[in-house]
This record gives sequence, structure tokens and C-alpha cells, in this order.
Amino acid sequence: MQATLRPTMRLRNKLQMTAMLGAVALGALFAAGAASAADRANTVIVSGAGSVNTLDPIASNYFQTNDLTSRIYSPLITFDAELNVIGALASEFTVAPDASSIAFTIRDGAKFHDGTPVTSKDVAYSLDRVKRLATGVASYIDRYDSTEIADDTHFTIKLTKPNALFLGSLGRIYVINSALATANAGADDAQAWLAANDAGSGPYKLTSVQGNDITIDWADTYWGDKGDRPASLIFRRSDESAPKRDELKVGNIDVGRNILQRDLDVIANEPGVAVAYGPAAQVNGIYFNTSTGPTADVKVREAIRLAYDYEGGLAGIHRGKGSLPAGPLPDTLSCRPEFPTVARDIEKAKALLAEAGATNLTLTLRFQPAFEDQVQEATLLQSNLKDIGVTLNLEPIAFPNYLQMLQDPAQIPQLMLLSENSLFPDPGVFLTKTFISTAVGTNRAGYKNPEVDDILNKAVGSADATERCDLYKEAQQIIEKDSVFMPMYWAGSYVAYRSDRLSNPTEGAASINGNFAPLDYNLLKK
Amino acid sequence: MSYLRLVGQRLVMMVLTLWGLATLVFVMIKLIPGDEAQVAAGPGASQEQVAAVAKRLGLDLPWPEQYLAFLGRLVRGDLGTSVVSAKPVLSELAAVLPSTIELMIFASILGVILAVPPALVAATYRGKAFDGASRLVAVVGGAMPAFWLALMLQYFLGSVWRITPISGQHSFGVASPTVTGMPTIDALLAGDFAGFLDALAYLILPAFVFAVPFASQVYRLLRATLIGVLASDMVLPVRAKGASTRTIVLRHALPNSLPPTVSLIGTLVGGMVGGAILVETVFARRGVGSFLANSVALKDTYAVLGAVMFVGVAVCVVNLVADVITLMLDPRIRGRQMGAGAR
Repeated sequence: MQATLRPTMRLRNKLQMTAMLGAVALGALFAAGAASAADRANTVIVSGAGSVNTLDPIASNYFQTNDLTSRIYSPLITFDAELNVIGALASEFTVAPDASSIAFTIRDGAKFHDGTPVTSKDVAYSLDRVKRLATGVASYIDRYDSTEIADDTHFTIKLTKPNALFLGSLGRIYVINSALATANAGADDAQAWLAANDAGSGPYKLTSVQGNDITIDWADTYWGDKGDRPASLIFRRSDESAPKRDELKVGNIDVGRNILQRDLDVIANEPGVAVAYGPAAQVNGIYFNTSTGPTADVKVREAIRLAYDYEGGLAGIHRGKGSLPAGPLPDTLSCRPEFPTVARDIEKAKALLAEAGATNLTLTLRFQPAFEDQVQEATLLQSNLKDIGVTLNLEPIAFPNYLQMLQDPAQIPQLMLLSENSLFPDPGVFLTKTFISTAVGTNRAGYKNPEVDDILNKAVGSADATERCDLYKEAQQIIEKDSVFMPMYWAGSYVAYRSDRLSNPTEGAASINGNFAPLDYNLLKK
Repeated sequence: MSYLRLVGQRLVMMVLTLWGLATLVFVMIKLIPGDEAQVAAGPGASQEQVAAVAKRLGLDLPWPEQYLAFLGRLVRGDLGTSVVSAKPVLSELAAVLPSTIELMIFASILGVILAVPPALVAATYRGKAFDGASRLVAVVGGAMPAFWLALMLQYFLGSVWRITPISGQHSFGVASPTVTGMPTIDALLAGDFAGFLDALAYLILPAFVFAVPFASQVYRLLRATLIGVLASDMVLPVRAKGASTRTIVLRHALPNSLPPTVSLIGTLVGGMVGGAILVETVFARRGVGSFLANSVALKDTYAVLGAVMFVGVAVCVVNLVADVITLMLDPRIRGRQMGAGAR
């Protein structure tokens, strides 16, 4: 039998003393945790998901990078709430009648954060660097040829081929202080240096990168008006939804992005917290492989489109946030013809499958399991397709793998579920990248229709906005008739914020996800 | 055989292990579908742009050439360049590593504090109420999913009762200048005691999430070993000589129970680096875990390789240290490993 031993009183006293000291130390810790600085009143903390891997503006094709670079740097042009192109660093711009060049004038008083003026040389350096490195935003300006400098504030951008979309694409090309970048070029064209340093002329300057916090402070060198914008902005990475919900509730952050709808429901009625919904420039849907396999048959594609329970999905998966789409483009874009809203019609779907001779059809849908709504949408479609006798296999896929598959039309998934964002307000960018047959790597359906190619190529070469708009509408009619894409929802995007500190950040925003221009965070007037 | 020779042997094994790990991870990451050049060039890049990026980053070379170049750089201490950020992987790791080390050290200390005293008391009072209660707590703690535990702690302690920070690494305006990358140490170096306490407060919940399964395993092993030692013949003459309970437990039973516990702690500390992916993500902390998770998602080959090599080195070093401590503590193991005459 095991003997039971008794600890001495001395040992017990020591344990008690240790426990007491521990309690005192913990008390001090929690008291320290409540400390805060006085300038919190002039600081807005924005918490969102995803790592900011670099602050080099060439990587502004990543949303989380662009959210910062768009404030630290300035582009030549930007967009107003009505999606019109307006000058940012440029005070004037003129597109040549043949759309093969654009003349610019830099605005008076435009300065970098080190106080030096922004010149034509800086613009030329920035564009040439993007072309040289061929990464990130380079794909937006692949027709850039050279910059012809007239003087310090006047220059002309020359294109390799006429491109009416080029001007809008400059909204994500930021001008770098060429003297600073050249001095720190190293062997990598200043990529490593710009990853953590500031060479911009935007409204905010980079102050610090500490832990998961990136702090930017208002730049007095900026030519624009500060208005009610805060003196400091802190961008904090936080990937999980629930901690952001809780941080917002207790007021440790002021803006929460990428918070799941179920968590928004929890805090929506908290005092001092509000959730703003707005346009997202985003359409969720499915691309078919139109070049090979069963989905190469337009009747099969149309049948699948008719089988999905759009209304049920919107209500059940998206909690009614968003709307049912009509046509392939996000509803925030212009030049969309009138299309009927998507609807379910099982009998017609069955008839189309019978016409196509597609019996006992088995298809595969690829989706990204990291997105909870995609998992539910895929499952709903799987269930709906059973009703028309189609077996749908669901296979997860990582985005890098998907991008690689797009290089070969034969490898493109039969069905691919995606959330498509329009990065530019001009519908031509979306249409040309996605549906023109020569756009291998971005043509998500392997779609090849010479008629559509001709129309879109003609639009790209036209400097006449009205003519371009008509051409876009014509192209969409054909794309829709060919059932290349199955739009499921026009996404309703949202942002949660402290309404006791900030005004609604979506007011006046052309797109709530900041695709066209960053969301402005303004403090409430005292 | 001397200590030096034994440690030398272990170091050679460590190098071979790391080479095997590097090879395995390189092959695995190449087998995962997806094109790193496409990722670096961006989703909308043309084929020409992707080809240009592949050439610039050396990704157009055949696998064996890429592998040999990687090993060559590794020997020189160069972990390559991130295809996403264009920064040297070594400098990126150096920036995030201290934060993870700080968390691991704090979690290990907390785990030992949570495990050892209860194990001592439970073994001493075997079969009594405390023993039963602590065993139950240990089983529940060991079975609790870390993710769920983290969210519950954040919700109740941070959001509802507001007694701990929810996420992050320091309060607004409290951060000290970065010297080591460990907020607690940086605060002390800056002479900022309030900043030190603040950073410590932000460590409590993530460290606790690490420490709970850690403590559960250490508690169970130490308690069982202690009970075995206390029941052994070795204790009878000590007790017959009139030694106090404290002397028997702390001077005789505990040292004889430590070797397997130290080995276990070594394994658990090494495993913490892998667990950091979850904990750092949930608590929005910078560190190797969140760096690795991000790199895998972006198929950033050299960043993944660098982070995995670090994890491998950490596991090997911690296990080496645990082995050496075990040898020092237990003459029986020392005798088996180093020969009968070794001391």
C-alpha cells in the first residue's frame, strides 16, 4: 500500500506566499493592460485580415497592401463617387484621339514626404520600374511603352498599342520618389527597401511597423485638405473574426473588416457600434470551362444556371445581404445592358439537358474552402443539381493552383466558384481580362468567341466613351447568351465601425471594399 | 565517451536530420500544385510577365538545380528571397522570431508552474480529493481544443469581464522601441516597467492556451513517475531515517522522477513552434507561426523553407538540450550512453 505523506507547514506557507505574490503581480499586469495614450482620440485603428507582406507600391494588387499604399502614395488619377476619372497628382490629362498616348500635367504644390517636389522624372521612374519588374500591378499597364518628359511638370505616356483603358488603370500605379528609390536601389530595384520604407507623396506618411501594427501619420506635405481625417491611422492584422468582434465591442479598434456575418449579428446592436452595408463591385459566381468537356456545351451550362436556388442562397447563406444579379458584371459598373434577374427553372433545365443528350452527367466544382460562403454555395448547388439528375463532385483548390490551371484551357476546372472583384470602374478592364480569348491566364472560362474578341479589341482602341459603352453592352449580350459565367449574387459588402467615434466610412464611397479609392475614415465632429 | 563526443555525435545527427528535412520540404512544396512565379507576378499577369518573373527568381531552372542552389545558400546561412515581399527570408524570420521565442518561453514557464506543484501534491496525497480533482482537470485540459479554448478565453476574460487584453502584443501607445523584437525585454531595456507589465499582460492568454495541454501532459507523467518512486524500496530507508515529507518528495523522489519529465518537456517545447500557427493567428500576434501560415497560403517557396528549417532547428536544439539535461540528471542513462565508467 502506498503511504500518504504530509507536507510540512513551512512548505505550505511558502506556497501561500507564492500565490499571494502571483496575485499581486497579476493585478499589476491587468492594470497595466488598461493603459492608453492621450492621442488615442486622434487615432483610428483599422483591423483586417491578411498579411501586408510589403509596402512596395508595386504590390498594390493585394488588397491589404493597397489599403496602405493608397494612403502613403499618390497615383496620377483616381475616381470620384460617381466613378469618373479625376486627377490626383495630375491636375490635367488628355487622352490622344487614337488612345495611344496620354499627356499629363502635375498639380502645383505636389510634394513627397521628404519635401521634394513630385516631378515628371519621378513618374517616368515609377512606370519604368513597374515595367522592368513585371510583377504585381504590372499586369494593369502591360501596354506601357515609355514616358516622354517635356519639363518637370509636363509629360506624355506612350503606349505600345492603343488602349482606352490605360488611363483608369493608372489609379493603382503609385508615384515613387525616384531619388530615394535610386539611392536605395540595391540589387533588387529597391524592392527590399520599399518593403519597409516610405517614398510617397500621399496624405499619410509611414511612421512605424511594430508587431502586427503599421502606423501612418498625416503628412503635412500633402496637397489635399485634412478635413476630419485622424492624425494617425493604425492598420492591425487580425485574421480571425471573433477577436475583431470583441475588440470592436470594447473599443480597442475602430474599424473591423472581414468580420463574419454571424459575428456582425452579435455586435450590431452594441452601443457605439454600427455596421454599414454598401456597394462592393463584386459578383460571386461560377465560371464554366467552355473549351472542353461536358461544360463546352452551352445547353449544359444553361441548364446548370437554371438549377440553382438563387433566392434560397441569398437568404440562407448571405442572410439577405446583397442582391440577385442580372448579367456578368458587378452592379456598381456602368455600361450594363438590361438582363433578366437570375431565377430557378428546374423543368427548363431538365429539358435543356435532354436536348444536349447529357444523361447521368457527373461534374466537378472547384472552390476555396477558406471562404465559408463558398463551402455553403457549393453544397447548395450540389443539392440543386441532384434535382436535374446531375452529380456534382466538390473539390477544394488553393488559389495559386487555380492560377496555374488557367494557363492551359484543357486544365481549367469544369466549374470554378469565385468572388470576382472589379479593380477598376471601367467595365472594359473586367470584360477584356476575363473574356477575350488571348488573355490566357486571366480568361477564366477558356472562352473563345471571335465576335467577342473583335468587339472588345475595338473598344480597347476607342477613345470615344459612348462608343466603348455600346461595345461593352454588345459583348455582354453575347457572353450572357453563351452562358460563360453563372452570376449568383451581387455581394453586399460591409464594414463594422465605432459609430461613437467615426462617421459612416461608406458615405460617398464608390466601392466599400476600397477597390477604386480607399475608404475615408473621418472622426465625428466634437 | 566524453560529454563533448556525445554532444558532437548528436550534432552530426542534427545536421543530417536538417538536411533530410530541407530535402523533404523542398520536394513537397514543389509537388504542391501552383506556380510561384504566377503568384509573384500577380493574378492578372500575362504569360510573358510570368516568364520574366520566373527567370528573374531562378524559378525557370530545373528542380535539381533549384535544389542545389537552395542547399548552397543554406550552407552559407542564406535562406533565399521571398517571392512575395522580395525581402531576404532570413531578415523576415529575424523580425518575427523573437516574438515566438518570447511566447514559447513564457508558455513553458507557465506550463511548468501549472504542472509541477499540483503533480507533487497529487502524488503526495494520492487517492485524496486533490489528486482526483487535479487528474480530472488535467484530462479536461489535455482534451480541450486549443482553438476553442482561445476563443472562449478571449470572449469571457477579454470581452465580457474585460480583465485581460483580447489580442495583439501591446496597448495603444505603450510599445517600446524595438531592440530584440520581444516586447517584454524591449520594455525593460527601455526602462519602461509599465510597458513590461503591459506586454506581459498580452502574453497571458496565448501563453495559457499553449500551457494548458503542455501542463496536462507534464502533470500526468510527473505524477505517475513520482508515485512509482515514492512506492519504491528506495524511499523506505530514507523514511526510516526520519526524513521529513518535504525532504523525501523534493530531495529524493523529485530528482529521480525528472529525467522522463525533462525529455517530455523538450518534445513539447519543440512542438510548440508548430502550435504557434494557431495561437499567433487567433491572438493576432506576430511570429514564426503566422509567418509560416501566410507563406504556405501564398506558396512563397523560400519563405516556407526558411520557416520550416527554423522549426526543425528549434526542435533539434531543444531536444539536444533536453537530452544533455537528462544525462546530467540520471547516472543510469549516462552509464548506458557513455559507458559504465562515465561520470
